[in-house]
Amino acid sequence: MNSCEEFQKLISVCLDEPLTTEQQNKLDVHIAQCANCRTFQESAINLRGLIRSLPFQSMAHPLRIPSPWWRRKIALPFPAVAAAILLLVASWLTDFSPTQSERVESNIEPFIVIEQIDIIKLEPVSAVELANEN
Amino acid sequence: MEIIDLQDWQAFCHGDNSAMERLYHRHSPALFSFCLYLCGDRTKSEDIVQDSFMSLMAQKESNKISRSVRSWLFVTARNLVYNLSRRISLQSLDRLSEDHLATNSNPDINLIVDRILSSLPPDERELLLLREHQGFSVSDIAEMLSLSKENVRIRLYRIRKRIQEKERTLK
Repeated sequence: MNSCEEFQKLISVCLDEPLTTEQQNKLDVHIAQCANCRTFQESAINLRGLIRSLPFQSMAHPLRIPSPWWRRKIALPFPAVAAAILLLVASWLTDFSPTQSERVESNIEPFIVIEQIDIIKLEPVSAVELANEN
Repeated sequence: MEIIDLQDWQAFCHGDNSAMERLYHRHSPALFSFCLYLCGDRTKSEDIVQDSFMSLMAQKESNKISRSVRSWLFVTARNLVYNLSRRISLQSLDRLSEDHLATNSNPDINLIVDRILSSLPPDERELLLLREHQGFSVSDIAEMLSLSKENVRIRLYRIRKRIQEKERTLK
């Protein structure tokens, strides 16, 4: 390790992690003699100070944790609630309207008249009977 | 901090929502600052922090956080910033400068820091912020960014060297 570049890499590492005793001793000796590497070290330390001086910013809005659906408060608009109640009342009232049998009894003709259809029962035909017919 | 985070995370997984609020209060300022200094947009940074915590909450079912909660949040936020960067330019930190001036007592220093951060590409800015502002170790950063430790060390050296050379040219 002779070049300034190698020592400057070591200076950079030294800012992030501890060096071995041997590495640290070599670096100390070199920095004491080399103005170029001293400048780099000062610059890197200065940069660290500048970046660390940046304040932690605070957010304008707090965290919004969504609650589970069964814990959510339901806010319904008044017209929707009124319409739902009206529908319930209407369906309840229709339960008391006359049924179809009651309507027939009261001579009310049904809407659809289904004519009676004769059902022909088909008997099985044996092979002998078929041969006789032919 | 990691043990407290883990305890709060376990409490949240067992239905204690206040534990998530504690995690939020502990980490949101640092996470928000990281996003803000990285992308330069206050509103988008707030959305990213919110989305990061929502993603964390979504992990409740699996109850699996492969790394520390703090690292997990930063990696998630960082990925969201990069998704955002497909639409906006991270190079522009004009609005960030205004934010600094509004909050920091020393506007001269802020201008210098803004100039430094603005001059770096997003990946280097991110690395510098994680190391120097957030105080993550080289090992943590290597794990978070899926890099080798040696790669992180070399990148940090190059960033420091480049900034020193820029300082020299400015003088």
